[in-house]
Parts: sequence; C-alpha cells; structure tokens
Amino acid sequence: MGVAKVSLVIDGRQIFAERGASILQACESSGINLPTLCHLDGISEYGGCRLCMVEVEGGRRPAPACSTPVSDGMIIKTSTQRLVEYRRSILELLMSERNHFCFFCEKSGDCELQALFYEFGIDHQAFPPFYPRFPLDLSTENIGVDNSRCILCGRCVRVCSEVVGINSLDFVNRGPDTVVIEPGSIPLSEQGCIECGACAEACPTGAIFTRLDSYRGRNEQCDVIRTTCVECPMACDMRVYRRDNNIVRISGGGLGGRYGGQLCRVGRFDVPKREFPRIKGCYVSGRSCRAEVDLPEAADAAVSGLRSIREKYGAESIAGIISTRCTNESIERFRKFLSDEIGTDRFYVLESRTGIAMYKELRRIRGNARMEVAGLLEADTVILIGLMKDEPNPIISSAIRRAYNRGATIVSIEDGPHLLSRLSHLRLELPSWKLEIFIKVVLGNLETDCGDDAIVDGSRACGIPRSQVSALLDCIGEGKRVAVVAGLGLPPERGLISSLVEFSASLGDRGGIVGLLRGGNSMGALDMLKSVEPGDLPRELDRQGIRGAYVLLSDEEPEFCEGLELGDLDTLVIQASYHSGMTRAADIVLPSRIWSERSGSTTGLDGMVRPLRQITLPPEGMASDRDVIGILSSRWEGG
Amino acid sequence: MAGKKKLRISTAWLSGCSGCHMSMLNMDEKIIEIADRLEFVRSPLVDRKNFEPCDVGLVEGAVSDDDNVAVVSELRASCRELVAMGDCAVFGGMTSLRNLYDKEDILRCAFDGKVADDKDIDEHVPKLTENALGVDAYVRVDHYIPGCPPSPDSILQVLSCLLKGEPVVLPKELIHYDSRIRRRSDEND
Repeated sequence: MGVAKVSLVIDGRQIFAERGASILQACESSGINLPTLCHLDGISEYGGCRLCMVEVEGGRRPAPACSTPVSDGMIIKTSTQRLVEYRRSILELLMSERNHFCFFCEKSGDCELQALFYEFGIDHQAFPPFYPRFPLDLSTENIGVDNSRCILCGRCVRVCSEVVGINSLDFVNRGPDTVVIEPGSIPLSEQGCIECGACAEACPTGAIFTRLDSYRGRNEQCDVIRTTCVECPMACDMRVYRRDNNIVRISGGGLGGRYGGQLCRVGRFDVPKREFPRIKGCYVSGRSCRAEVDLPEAADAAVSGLRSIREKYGAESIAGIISTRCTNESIERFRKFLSDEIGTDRFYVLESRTGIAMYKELRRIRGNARMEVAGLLEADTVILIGLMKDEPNPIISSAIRRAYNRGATIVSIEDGPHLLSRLSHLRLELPSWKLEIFIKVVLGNLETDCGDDAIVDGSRACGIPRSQVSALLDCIGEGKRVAVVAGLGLPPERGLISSLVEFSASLGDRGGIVGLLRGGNSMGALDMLKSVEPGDLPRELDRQGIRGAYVLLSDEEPEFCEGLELGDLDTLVIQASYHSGMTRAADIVLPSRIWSERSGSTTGLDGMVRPLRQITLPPEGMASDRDVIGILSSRWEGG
Repeated sequence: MAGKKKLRISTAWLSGCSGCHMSMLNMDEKIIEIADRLEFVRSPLVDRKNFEPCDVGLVEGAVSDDDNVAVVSELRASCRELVAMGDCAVFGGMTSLRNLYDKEDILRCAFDGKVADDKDIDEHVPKLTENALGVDAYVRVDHYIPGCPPSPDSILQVLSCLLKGEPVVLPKELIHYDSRIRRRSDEND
C-alpha cells in the first residue's frame, strides 16, 4: 500500500502530494520555486521569515507554505501580485534592519539573502538603515558570530539543538535587540560549543562564519568533491571545496544525510590546517649518511634488506605495520606483498588494543550484539562504559545528546569524567580493574533470575552502593531500547570485553553495543588482515623476534609517530607523508600521499565501504601508495 | 538620431573613490556610440565645477560631510533626474563603515597628533556629518545603480534608457552590490 496522496491545485496545476506534507514540499516536488530563508531541509520548520507565504483559496490571509500541511482540494496561488509585493516588502525591511553591507561581507556571492535581494531586483534601501552596533563574538577559534548580519531565521538555533543536540545557540532578548549570542554576556566558547561549524553551514547570511576559510573564495568559484573523512571510523560524508589545487573549505555532507550531515571540528577545521614538513623523495641511510635516491634505487635497498632478513631468520621475523588512515586498496596491496610474496603474517594495525579486542569479540559473536550509531537516536537507555576523557567522538556524542534531549536515561560507568559525564542521570564510579568483575557479576546475571543476589554481590565486589546497582538494573530492565557505548578506556582484557559483548547480545532485539575504535579505516585494516597482533602501538619489536619491518605510516601526524619505538631492527622501511622521529631512524624512507591526494575506499564503523576521492594533486612525480608497494613487489619477484 | 538635442549631464564625486567614474569610462568602445549624444556640463572628468541646468545628474559617493551636502543639494536643484551611482551613493557603501563607530573616535584615531593647527581644520575642512549615508537620505533620487563599482554595462543601460527617453529599467542580472564575482560559468565562456 502506497502513502496516502491528496490532490491539490497549485498555480492552476493539478498536483498530488503525500498526506502530511507541507505546501512547500508539494511545490518543491513539482518544480514550483518559492523563496525561503528560515526553511532548511533536515531540521524542523519555524515559519519565521514569511517569504514562502501563499494564498490558499478560502483562507482569510496568506499562509506560510513551509508550515501549512496540504489538504485535499486545496487551491493555492504562489505568485500573485500581492504576494510578490509582500515578499519584496519583507526583504526591504530585512535590508534596512541590520547591517547587510555586501561590499564588506565575507558571504557576498554565497549569501542566500543577497540572492533574494537580486531576485527581487532591490536596488536601494527603501527604509533608512539602523546601523545597529552588536559586537562580534570571536571567542571560539573557528567560528565568528556577527549578530548585526543576523536575520533571526533560527536555522543555527535549530541545527544546534536538533542535529548537534548541544543547544549552544538560542534567541536572547526581544524585538530589535534579539540575538543568537548575547554580546557582552556569556561568549559562545563558554556555552558548551564544540565548534562543529554546523551553524555556520546552515546560516543563510554572513552572521555566523567560519574564521579559517573567510575570504578564501566563494563556493561558486570552487569545484565540489564529495569524499569521506578518515579522521575517525565514523567516516562522515564530506564536501571539499577546491580551487586551483587548494582546499578552500570543507563542509558536511548536507543536512538530512548520514549522521544528520554532521562533521566535527576535526574534519571541518583541523584537517585543512594540518601542515607538516612533507617527505617528497626517497631516502636511504648508509653507514654514515643519508642520501636522497630515486624510487627504484630505494626499492632495491628495501627489498635486499628484507630479503636478507628472510634468508637469515625466516619470513616470520619480518613485520608489517600499517596505519589506519590508509585506503582499503593500499591495505590490500600491502597485505598481498607481505603475506603472499614475503610470506609473513605478522601484522600490526595502529589501533588501540581495546579497539582490536572489541572488534575481534564482535566478530566472534557476530550479528545481534552490534548496534548502529543511528540506533542510539532511538535508545531510551544509554549505558556509557569505559569512556576516556575525550570520548565519545562528537558524532556519537550528538546522537546520545539527542537521545537525552528526548528523555532517554543516560548511565555512565566510569573511571573518571568524560565528555558526557555531566549529562548522566546515574554515575557509577568504578576503577577499571573492577570492571571485569562488575560486568560478570551484575550484567552477566541479568538473564538468570537472581537479580537480588546480583545487586548484593555486585555491590560488595565493586564497592558501590546497592541503590546504584539496583538503579542500573532497573534502567536495563525497563529500557525498551538499550544502547551500550564502549569506549577505548576499557582494559583490553579479552574476558572483560567478551562478557560485555555477551551481555549486549543478551539484550537481543532490545539493544546492542557500539564499540568505539580509534583509526579512520581500522575496520578496513582489521577486515583485511586476518592475523593482527593484539597490539596497540608496537614497541620493542626486536624482543619479539622481529628483525625487519615495513611500516606504511601514511599521513599520521609526526607527534603520533614519536610514540612508536620499534626497537633495534636490521632493516626498517617506512613509507610516510611527513618527517618525524621515526622516519629519521629508518633505513629506507619512501613517500606516501596525504588524505587529499588519495583515491580509493575506506570502511566505516558500520562496516560500509565508502569512497575516498582525490582532491589535490600530489607533489610532482609522487606515486600512489599502491604503486610504491607495487614497485617493491616487482623487485621482490624479479630478484 | 542626428539633429536630436544632446543629453546634458552633470556628474559629482562625493565621499567615494572615483571608481564609479572609472567604471563609466570602462564602457570601452561603447562610449563612442553615445559620446556625441552626451554633453558633460559639469564633471570631475572634464574639470568643470559650475552647476548649470541639465537633464541628468549622476552622483558617486556617500554624503559624509557638509560640503557633500551642499554639492548634492545644488546638483539636485540643477538637474531633472538624479541617478545615484555605486554602493556609496546608494547605500553609504564603504564610507558608511564609520557609522559603526563614534565620529569623534574616528577623527581622533585618524588625525590626533598628526595635524599641526586645529584652528585651520575648523576653518577650512568640511565638517563630518553624524553618519555617512546614501544620497537619498538628503535629496530625492530617481534612479539607483548599485555596485562597487557598478558594471559599465549597468551605467550604459541607464544612460541608454535616458537617451531614448524610455523608463529606466535595470535588469536583475545587472544589479549587484559589490564587485561582480567571476563565476565558474563566466570563466568557461
């Protein structure tokens, strides 16, 4: 059975629309354009700008199309002389109310308000301007708020509340003094803002702007490339604006998309700021010096080094270490070279020990224990367990906050405060070494009918009040949708993680677990490399019988690389984008492309494979990661 | 059109950068087509400063001091139709940035300690008005050409309408509030 349709007439055309749709939706689906400012797909309607007013036959006055539902037999006119005059008057009033001076506004050219002024042919101010003097809010690093360009459409307020779930912005004051951030009062940086930039993306004027990319260029002048963020396993959709091989700005995948089209501060602002000294050529370290050589020569050196290790100590003394930022295609080529050609199965993935253990347990149980991130939105009980102080990531935080805003109960079992501690209705403070016993005694016994024993035992074993344990069990018992969010702060003990996963599986259709990972393409790497060492950051490999290593470091930040101490190896081959302490210690250094220069695919936390598209050109002559491995591989075969 | 009376034009340059006058000259070869049908009565371009009765007044720049007020009032009185040319004359433009601050602060910031004799300033320099405003805050304006600067095409369009004696219509695509952005689609042309 299809969705019930109603029939209506718009501008003399018969149109069918879904029951419950707004007049605006009916117009859009049949190609009739209405001017709008406060409407934005993906958030609720506000009906504040009054530009989409239409005349409904029989109605006493025009009705806003965005917030009037269609009904059968409606006869609607969208562009009568009277409506056009009304809209023009609204725009003329808007133009004079605040400081809409396109000639020094960053948004000019991309501004929706300006586009409407042009559309209505407004060539001067019909009313004398006010010149209000609202101070700027530049308290955050990345977002600027200029209330004097604000038209009070409330898009930012609704995005911040409905998509990000954080409510940093709201209307303050009344009448002509209404603002979204009160100047001189609490600045945006102290309103809990996470600088995700969603408000700036939603703003139709220059009132909320991103400080990083202001005056770098208009969207109009850029190519837009849709790709995937590889900063964390959420794999958010990204739109990258490119002009002349430069990244101008990055925005989310569009409201209403996956995760509400969100992008966090890292993806939107930190990624384009990232700049470190690049490795552009190949280097080989001799006894006393280090020489820049061409790729075939470096490949020969690498292959002969690794070959002599295999001959002396066997293939198993060669390790493959791979960053979680690589494309699936590079990982597969890397695996093929090391596993099929060299013959070693010792792989390390630069993912946390807990993440790898969680991945393996979820694989083992397979199926019903896992919960998708979207499932968090429907949860009425969320159990946060083992979150570190900067967890969960902004996208998952948003989902949990939105659940909270709708009345979900949040329970936090924590060793220390994390980002959502203050939100939690129930906080059980539990040192991580007591977690395993807690999970076994309390959560493990839920199925069996000894609830009271579980409370007594759990309380005694873990040293937390009985009332808290019973409150937790009540939450789990009463919850219709129970979500467990497991952080990377959990001790990486298999028994503990396995009990937690089994508990989640025992919830059946009622819930599941979201197990966090650190790396952007950890899922891809763990999926493809069958035998991954249960590793964290590999350390002192020489003590584990490893004499040589091939490290595909990709564009990991130098600071992160400093944490890797591989020990004394006979041959260390590193393929990396940036110079770091590690590349200085390597015997052979090969170049690697950075995120914007790669193309291929990445696998998100949900297991879906998403495309990575090339945005900028690599330094001249730099081969792709895959091709560099391919050259090593051909030398190995040939030799 | 031979034998027809020429269109007598006065132009004035108030608080602006002369970019609009430049834009007028930027009509390139099109200016030849209309040049012999125009007569500049008064203009910074022809260095004639006396106000004589004329058909059209074109004014560039915001009204920002009492000299501007006097000039624009005389221009209005001398012409039949007044055209505000450019963002400054239409909206106040760049000059109106000072409206976001106190007048005295601006003066102090720009000139304090840099000018020798204050008495001279009071005598010979026009006094700033409270706000820098578009021309229509002081006199009636008949036609507006926004833009910073307005494109030569938009000025030509208005002059052509006036030459033909037709109602002045500025099509939507010729209206813009800052320098016209070169869009991708333009670059491909």
